[in-house]
Amino acid sequence: MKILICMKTVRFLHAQTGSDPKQLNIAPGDYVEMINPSDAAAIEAALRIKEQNPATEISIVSLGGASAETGLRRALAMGADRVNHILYDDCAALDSWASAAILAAWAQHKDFQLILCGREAIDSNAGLVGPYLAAQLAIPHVSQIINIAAPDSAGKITVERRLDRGDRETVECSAPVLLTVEDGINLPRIPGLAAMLQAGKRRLNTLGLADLTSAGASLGPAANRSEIIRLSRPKAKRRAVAQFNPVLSAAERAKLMMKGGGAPAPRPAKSDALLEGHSEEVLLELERLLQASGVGLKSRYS
Amino acid sequence: MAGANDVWLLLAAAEGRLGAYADGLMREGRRLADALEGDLTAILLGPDIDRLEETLGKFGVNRLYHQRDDSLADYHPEIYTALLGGLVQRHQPRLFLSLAASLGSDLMPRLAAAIGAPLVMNCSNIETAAEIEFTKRVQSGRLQATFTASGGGTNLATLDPEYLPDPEDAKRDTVTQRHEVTVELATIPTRLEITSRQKADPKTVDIREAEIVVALGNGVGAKENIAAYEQFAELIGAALGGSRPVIDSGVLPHKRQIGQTGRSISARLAILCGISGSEYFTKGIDQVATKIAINSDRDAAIFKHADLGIVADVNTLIANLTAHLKNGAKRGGGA
Amino acid sequence: MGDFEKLLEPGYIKNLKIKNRTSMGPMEKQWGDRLGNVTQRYIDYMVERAKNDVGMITMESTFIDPVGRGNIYQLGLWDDSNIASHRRLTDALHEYGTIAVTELQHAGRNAATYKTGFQPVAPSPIPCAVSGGYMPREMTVEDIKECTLKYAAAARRAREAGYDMVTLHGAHGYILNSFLSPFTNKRTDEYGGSLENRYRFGTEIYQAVRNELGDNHPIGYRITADEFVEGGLTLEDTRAFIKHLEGLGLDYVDVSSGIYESAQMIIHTMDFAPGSLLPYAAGMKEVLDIPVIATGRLNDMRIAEQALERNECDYVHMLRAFHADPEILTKTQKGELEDINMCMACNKCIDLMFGDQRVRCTVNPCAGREREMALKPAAHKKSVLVVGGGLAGMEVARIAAQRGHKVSLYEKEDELGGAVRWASKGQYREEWWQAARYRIHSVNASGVDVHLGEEMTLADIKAAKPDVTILATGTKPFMPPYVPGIDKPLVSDYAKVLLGETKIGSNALVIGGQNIGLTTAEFLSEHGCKCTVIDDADAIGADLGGIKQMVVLPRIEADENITVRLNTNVERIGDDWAEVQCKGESETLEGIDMVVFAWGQDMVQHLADEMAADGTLENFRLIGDAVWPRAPIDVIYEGALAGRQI
Ligand SMILES: Cc1cc2nc3c(=O)[nH]c(=O)nc-3n(C[C@H](O)[C@H](O)[C@H](O)COP(=O)(O)OP(=O)(O)OC[C@H]3O[C@@H](n4cnc5c(N)ncnc54)[C@H](O)[C@@H]3O)c2cc1C
Ligand SMILES: Cc1cc2nc3c(=O)[nH]c(=O)nc-3n(C[C@H](O)[C@H](O)[C@H](O)COP(=O)(O)O)c2cc1C
Ligand code: SF4
Repeated sequence: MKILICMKTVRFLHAQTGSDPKQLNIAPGDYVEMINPSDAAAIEAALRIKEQNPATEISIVSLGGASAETGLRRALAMGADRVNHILYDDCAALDSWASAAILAAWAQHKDFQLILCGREAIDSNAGLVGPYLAAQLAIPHVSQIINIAAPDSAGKITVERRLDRGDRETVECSAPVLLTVEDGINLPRIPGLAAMLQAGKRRLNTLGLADLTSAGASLGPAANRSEIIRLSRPKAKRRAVAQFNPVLSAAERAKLMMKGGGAPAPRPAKSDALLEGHSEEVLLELERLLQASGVGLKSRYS
Repeated sequence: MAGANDVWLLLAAAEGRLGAYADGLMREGRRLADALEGDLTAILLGPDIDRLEETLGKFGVNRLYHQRDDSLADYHPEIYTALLGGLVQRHQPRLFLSLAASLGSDLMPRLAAAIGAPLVMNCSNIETAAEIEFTKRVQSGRLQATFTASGGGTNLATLDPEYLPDPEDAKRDTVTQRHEVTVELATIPTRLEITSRQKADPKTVDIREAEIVVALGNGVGAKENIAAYEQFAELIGAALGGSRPVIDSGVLPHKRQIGQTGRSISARLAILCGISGSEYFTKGIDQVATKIAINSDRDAAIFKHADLGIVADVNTLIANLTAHLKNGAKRGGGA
Repeated sequence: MGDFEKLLEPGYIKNLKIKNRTSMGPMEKQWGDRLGNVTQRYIDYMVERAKNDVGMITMESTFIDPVGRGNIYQLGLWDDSNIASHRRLTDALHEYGTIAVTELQHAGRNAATYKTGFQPVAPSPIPCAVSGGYMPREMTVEDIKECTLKYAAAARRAREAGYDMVTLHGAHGYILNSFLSPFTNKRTDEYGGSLENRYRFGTEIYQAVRNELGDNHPIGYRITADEFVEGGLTLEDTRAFIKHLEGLGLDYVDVSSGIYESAQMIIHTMDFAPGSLLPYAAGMKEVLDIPVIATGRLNDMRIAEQALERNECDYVHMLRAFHADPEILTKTQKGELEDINMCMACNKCIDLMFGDQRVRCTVNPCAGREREMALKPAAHKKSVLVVGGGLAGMEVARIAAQRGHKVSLYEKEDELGGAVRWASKGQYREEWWQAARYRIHSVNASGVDVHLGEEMTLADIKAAKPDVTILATGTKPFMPPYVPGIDKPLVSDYAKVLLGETKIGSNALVIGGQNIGLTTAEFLSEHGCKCTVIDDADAIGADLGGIKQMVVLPRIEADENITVRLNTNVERIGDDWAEVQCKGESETLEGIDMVVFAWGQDMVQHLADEMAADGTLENFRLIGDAVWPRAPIDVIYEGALAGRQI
């Protein structure tokens, strides 16, 4: 089986040590370049599939500037078979759709049965390249993956996804499929020194946009659907601030402040009447409400 | 009629009620629709909800599209994408919004790809200046970025529930018009098959995320009584939380404290046992859909927040209820 | 601990690295000398906090000019002779990697002649009643220029004394604040009137300090975000001003609120929700790029972490939290949240300061006495028997046990806490329980042998033969036996009512309008019972302390269930009536279903008397309210002392 992992070398802001608030207190040394953590989790997941199916071939593709090379070599050292570098220096000018379009142009017709992407890059936090790539390659996509069972002989792949509130879901699909993998589902292996040295000597397959002949597809920023117009410091939720508007008297503002600002008005009493005691009737009413709220007692616990 | 300045919302429902944060989403939707001078439309897929138009009207929803189909109660990515993609393409609203929860995060990129619309995920704010500006946290929260979308047409966004306005009473009196949608679901091709769903383990789930919570207050009494509540919670699949005094006395860990100095829960159902209803506590249960309060004091403030209030000794009631439910299960009944 | 990730993240203000986001806010402690120099006591106190990892400490309002001195033993940087002692302080803090910040202040119209010896100066001659009502002299333009020079000179001294950052005290009605505010600035020259003119004084001071310190030295501004007086500054005004200073290179803003006329909004009592000023900090942050320091009843690390997580601020000033427990941060890091001696916002510290006394703390008897109160292991291990599990008893027991003594504690009720059990009842007073909660935890953690529900008699004590007996038997409600009708069934006392042992009626007469009486009345009102509060004094709540009065008295006044009658006494009590007398005139109140005595507390001393008379066990001591009912601060202190003296 051929597995592809799309890997990004993120430029992650890990500290803000700059002295100029207008520059958002960012000093040049505040960025670290690293393999995006959920991409690393995807690589690890693929390596584990390969451990069970030695016939698996793991390819990595990374779209990025020269610095992507370090990450690619690390992926090699971890155990990837082939690494491909789509060299493009101005990735910051690409939105997710444009990035996915480039990756799709490269990946199509290459017969990958499984494509793995990370959930989102920790620098842009967009979370869109994976699903957009699946759409552009016209293959199914399953998101929020926390577990991948190695494909069975019929090529059927069973995965587990994380839903809200800690629930999980099992999904079956058949190759080719694209999975977006959650961060933290495994501990990506740390390559040894020897492997790193060896990977350092390997030749990378480096291409440019011009090499990706794709009939009619517009690549690069031309494909953008959105752009960043401004970076700023994160702000608090607007919540109570607006309520301290000067229209209120000083005493009213003071009262509001005592309550911690904009405490929501308690909702009117919902229960028309109170029940009393622990008679059968009370228990039945409780049971009814429990049922109405979807307490699936029997199916789950009896 | 639908217009090019309309705002659309995807609502989610669970167990016959609107899901958590629906009110915040509607309030945000209304604010944006007002700013754009358009109408607000909500979409709901799956079984109907009691007095739905009445609720939506209070939030200023002008129009409801609803496909009443039980099979839609569980989200299927491809079916939802096809169904919603068709609707959105036909009506071309200005904005299409959903919560940045599991469903929205999975669905919206599919929809964006399907209809060729720009999408910004996990927005903390949307403003309508000359263009619509979408703001979200980037660099894992260290910065925020503001986006604009290229081209006109529909813009998609998911909203970070953390940043939605706090709940307060909805007071509008819009008349919500209902439109039933009847897309033939069987004709939608699917390549994914959802084979099973597993519930989280209430013992380990984060109290903020638990679907059912049994909250213990001072009225529960001595530490020795806790075992009965653990048993009850296990029976109904609930997570245990507590008010500050209960946490302070070391019965439950700090992470299980509900309230202003603790966590806010967003459960579908919370059973509040022997809790007096101090504002510091009730700040933590704003988002709970159904609240049952049990207290021996009929004047307890907690009853003002409850959907069902029971004046009783909570230890006896819970013991009886546990027995009743167990018998019911044996009888072969439901809950 | 992953739970406090934001709090523990280092931050930068200008090029200065701050090791975490916690900061101890400014507190005038009145521990300087008469000249504004730092004392050893001051250094000991600060080192104790610095040792425990706080990121930065702002000392206190530090006067730049004797005319603008706010308090008698305040720190000052008004003369070069101050530099040496301040240097010793900053050197001590730097040893622990803590950032030292000074807050330069000129009290302006808040200065009191009896403290300074001068007539106060201010933008306009409007006296401040709260600080004594001295009529200020309107500053001339020459005065203003001179003030600017003094600020600059003080800033130079601050730098020479080793302070890493300088905060300009632009809050609380002091001189910078009063020039900005239309409430106190009525000038018609270029320093008053228009917005631009009102900005001028603050801008000039800032520029002068900036010129003195240069571009690389962080300068911040403490602002009163909202004055909470009619016609005063609101958030819109103050954030516009800070935005303006930001444009001139201001490095951070520290967001406080209130002026002396609204002093309850400066130092928030337990009636306020924790972190109640956060919306203002967030409101500031909304328009600014520079770091915002939030303040105000941030007594709980969980609230602080939440505020940072929600981007409501960049740093948290936790003043009283560190005053009450210097180890709050280290304990939080270790996950020992229950071991935190939490500030309960009783405001005793500030009442002491406003009363020209040295600042102490109710819950932390060691604050300001770090050296003399340091715990030393006992030379001879003794058996200690403590009777009474109230604040004094628990304090003595835990301290003695921590020093190695074998301690047993006997409490006749089923629960520890003593008077706090009832004193913490009602929605505005429950924070009092923190004082008991911490001690209960500590008593248990220190290995004290606790006996609940055991009332000790002389015989019991003699049988136990302890080396030392401590009687901390507290008080009981005082029931005047001479009032006719005192034994009627409708008569009760504050303790019974607050502890829920009396059925609450619908119309009560509460006898006593001081703290206990008001606690009782508000509790009854909360439960829907109307009450008439009588007191023979001229005022209610005289024992509340200045700031609490500003919060509680208006609330009582607004409470529709509560009627107050002053100069009134109870004469006799009937089955459903009571006769009261006001200045010689009697009146019968009809339709009463409760009479609650909250007249005073009666010391419980019989065991002490019996032990003295018996004479077998000589080593015993009576402590706490049982000696003489006092404020909790004195009672805890007495326990702390006794525990150290065994
Ligand atoms: C600054 C501050 C922050 C706070 N933050 C929080 C917070 O985050 N979370 C929080 O929970 N609290 C918080 N509190 C405390 C809060 O104000 C209340 O004191 C607390 O919520 C009360 O807890 P409770 O309802 O369990 O106990 P209580 O108020 O003691 O109520 C017990 C209730 O149990 C009932 N009862 C007694 N026996 C029985 C019985 N046998 N059967 C049925 N009912 C019975 C009683 O009628 C009573 O109503 C905070 C307080 C302060 C001052
Ligand atoms: C005893 C005492 C003295 C104070 N002195 C000052 C001071 O000198 N300068 C100042 O700006 N604020 C002073 N304050 C206000 C505090 O800095 C702080 O804003 C306020 O107490 C609220 O924060 P907290 O709840 O963390 O204590 C003082 C407060 C107290 C209790
Ligand atoms: S005296 Fe009271 S308000 Fe002041 S720090 Fe101590 S506990 Fe807090």
